[in-house]
Formats: sequence, C-alpha cells, structure tokens
Amino acid sequence: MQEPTFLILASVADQPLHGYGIIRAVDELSDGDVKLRAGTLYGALERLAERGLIEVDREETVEGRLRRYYRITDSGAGALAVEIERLRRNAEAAEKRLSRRPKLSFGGAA
Amino acid sequence: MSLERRYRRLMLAYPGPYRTGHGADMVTTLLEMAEPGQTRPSRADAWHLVLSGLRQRFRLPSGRPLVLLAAVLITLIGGAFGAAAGSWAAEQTFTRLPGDSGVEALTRQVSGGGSEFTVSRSASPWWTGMASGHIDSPGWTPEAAQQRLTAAGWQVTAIERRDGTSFTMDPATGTGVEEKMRGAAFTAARDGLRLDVSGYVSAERGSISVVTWPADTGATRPLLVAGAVIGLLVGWLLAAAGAYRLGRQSVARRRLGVALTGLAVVASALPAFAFGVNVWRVFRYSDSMVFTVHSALNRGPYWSYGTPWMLLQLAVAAVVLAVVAWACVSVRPKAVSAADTSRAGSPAPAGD
Repeated sequence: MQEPTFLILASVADQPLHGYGIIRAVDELSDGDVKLRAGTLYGALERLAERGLIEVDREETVEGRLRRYYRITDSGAGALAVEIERLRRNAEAAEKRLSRRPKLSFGGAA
Repeated sequence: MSLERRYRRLMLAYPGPYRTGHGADMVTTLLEMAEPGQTRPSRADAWHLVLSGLRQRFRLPSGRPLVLLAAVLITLIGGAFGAAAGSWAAEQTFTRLPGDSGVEALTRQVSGGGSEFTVSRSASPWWTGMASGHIDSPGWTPEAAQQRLTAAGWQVTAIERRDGTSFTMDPATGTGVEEKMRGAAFTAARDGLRLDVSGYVSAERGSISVVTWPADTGATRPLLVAGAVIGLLVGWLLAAAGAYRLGRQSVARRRLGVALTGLAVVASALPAFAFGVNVWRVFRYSDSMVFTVHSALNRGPYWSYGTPWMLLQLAVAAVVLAVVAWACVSVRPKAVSAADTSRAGSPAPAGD
C-alpha cells in the first residue's frame, strides 16, 4: 500500500469524510509531510472503492455544491489493520537494528 | 471566467463518465482547497489535474485480470487494424495503374509489335495490385526493347540473361520436343510506375510479359508504423473506457456487452493476425513486389483453408460487433444510478 493510500484509508478510519476533509486529515496525520492534490486523492479514492476498501457514505449539497462523504468498509478496516501491523513490525525491526549499531565513532564519520 | 469554470474546463481531461460520476464532488474539493480570493488555478495544479485526467483515461478497473487480458488483445487488434489503415493511406500515394489500353500500349512499346495480346490484373492478399500484359513477338530482343523504352524516357536496369529450354508436346507424334530459348529480364521505371519485363524467345515463338506495378513511394513503412501506433493507443483507450462503461451497466446488459466484445475479438483475430504477418512481410522483403498490409482483405484466400472473402467478411463483422458492443455499454444506466442515489443519504443532482 502506498503512503498516500494508507493515509487516506487511515483518515476515514473513525468517521466519514468528504474530499477536502480527507486532504486536511492526511496533512494532519502526516504532520504536514503529505499534501495531497485533488487528482491524486480522487485517483486513490477510485482504486480504494474498486477494491471495496471504502464506499460512499452520503452526499450533501452545501451552498449549491455537491459534497460526497466516504467511509471505510469492514474489509478496508481489515486491510488498514494489516498494513498498520506491517509498518509497526518493520519500524520495530529497524529500530532494533539501529539500537545495536556500535557507538564507537566520534563526530559524523561512520 | 470564474475559478469554478476554469476547474471544470481542466476536468475535461477526464473521461466523460468519470466526470459525470465524480466531477461535481471533485470541483467542490478543488474550490475548498483554493486560497481565498484565488481566481485561477496555479500552473502546477492545472498540470497535475490534466495529467491525472489523462492517466484516468488509460486506467483499467483494478483487480480484474480478465479485463486486462481483453484490453491487451483489443490493443493488439487495434494496432494491426491501424497498420492496415496506414498501409491503405500509403497506397493512395502510389501512381494509379494504367487502364487496359494503357497496359497494351506499354506492352507493345516493349515488344515492338507482336500478336495475341492479353492482359490480366491481380489483387493479391500480400501486395498491391498489378497489371500484367502478355504478347507473342518472335523476333524480340531485350536490347531493342530497352532502346525504345529509354527513348520514351524510361530508366532501365541491366539485362539479366535467363536462357533455358522449353518442352512442348509434338501433336503428331505425342513425344516431347526440347527447344532452346533465349530469355532475358529487366525493369524499367518512369512517372511512379515500374515495369518488370521478361521475354523468352525461341525459333518460332516469343513470349513477352510486362508486369506494371506502382513504384513504392517510400510512404508505406512510415505510414504503417504511424497507423500501428495510433491503433495501439486507440485500442487501449477504447478497452479502458469500455471496461468502465461496462461496470456501470445492469447485469443483463453487462453480459450482453461482454458477449458482443468477445465475439468482436474472436471475429477480428484472424484478420488482425493476417495484418500482422503482412507487416512482417513489408519489413522482411524490400525488392520485387510492393508489399502492403491491408491487401489481406483482397480476394484471397489468404490461407489455403479460407474462403476468398473470409478475411474481409470477418473484419466487417468485427467492426459491426465492436460498434454494437460500444453502443451497448454506452447506454446511460438509469437503474444503476437510481440505486446509487437511493443508497446515498440525501440525493443530490449528480455531476455536470
């Protein structure tokens, strides 16, 4: 799962969000690292919907504009949990290796 | 022009059905992302939107291996038909062959007299059409023929000797009679036409044949390649668009669309394969015949087990089936969209 896809799925994990809501949530989740563009967001939403990981929750019209809310499906929640576990495992394994690095060098030279 | 109109115009890069489904929602998001007072999209945003739209046109629904297989087949078939179209366009640049009287005049110019003129034309499945004149002229010599042709402005190649023997049956005794023949061949070119001249002369007979071809204008290969590339592209885009349109249809219509597409693919398989083999011939052979790709649709048979018009019939059937399949999947799906809006919490006017 690519990082934007992972973050989009995570952003709708607890509540349905509309397009702009997802973009803000992803920005927040990634601490400002990932700023989605609309084209990327909707491409990812389409793929996630095709794979049954998200679905349309509802549509609203605010000031004459259509807003569509997306929610995570059960299989999406499952896929997200699997991905979180995978990332946690990798991060922990990486951390363990890094902690075993001999601390002999002084300064920046490795 | 308002920011919204500008965004809507950039959204034209997306396929129509995609805009109908997601356009309004996407424009809402784009406007919410815009800075206060912004009147036009930033250059980077505009580019990104257009590229995302074009990419969407090339996308296939994910996780559908059969759709991918069908798309690959349709792409290859598109490439083959495109190559045939390019080859047809190239043939339009060829010099038109003279009529029967013109062929006779050319043949008599080569033979310098003679009798029993016959003409035949052939359209083969492999190369462009040619006209073949034949005449009997006992005292014929290739040198005299070349002199007459060069005087009329033809460029001739060196004479190639093809001496041999002929065997004829003596009608009285029924035994074979061996006869020495002087044979010669050369080609002549003028005004976009090429003559393949050959003559076999014995004591009593002189069999002269003049095959008239259009000279290759050099357009065949580039136009063939251009046609193939366009065909591949169109094939993939049609398959991708068709797959998404199919997915929006009711189950019954979807089955009909799949069946029609399957039949179109099956019908076009043999013509596409023949076109492919003809493409190989164009690049494999560069002398003698002027090979073309679309000639596979000429009266054949292309393969010994085919009927004369089999490939043309199959190609026409494939095109008709493909058009019907496209019409079938392009019908606006009323039932499906109604189900979609009823599932959504509050129905809203969809799209543009």
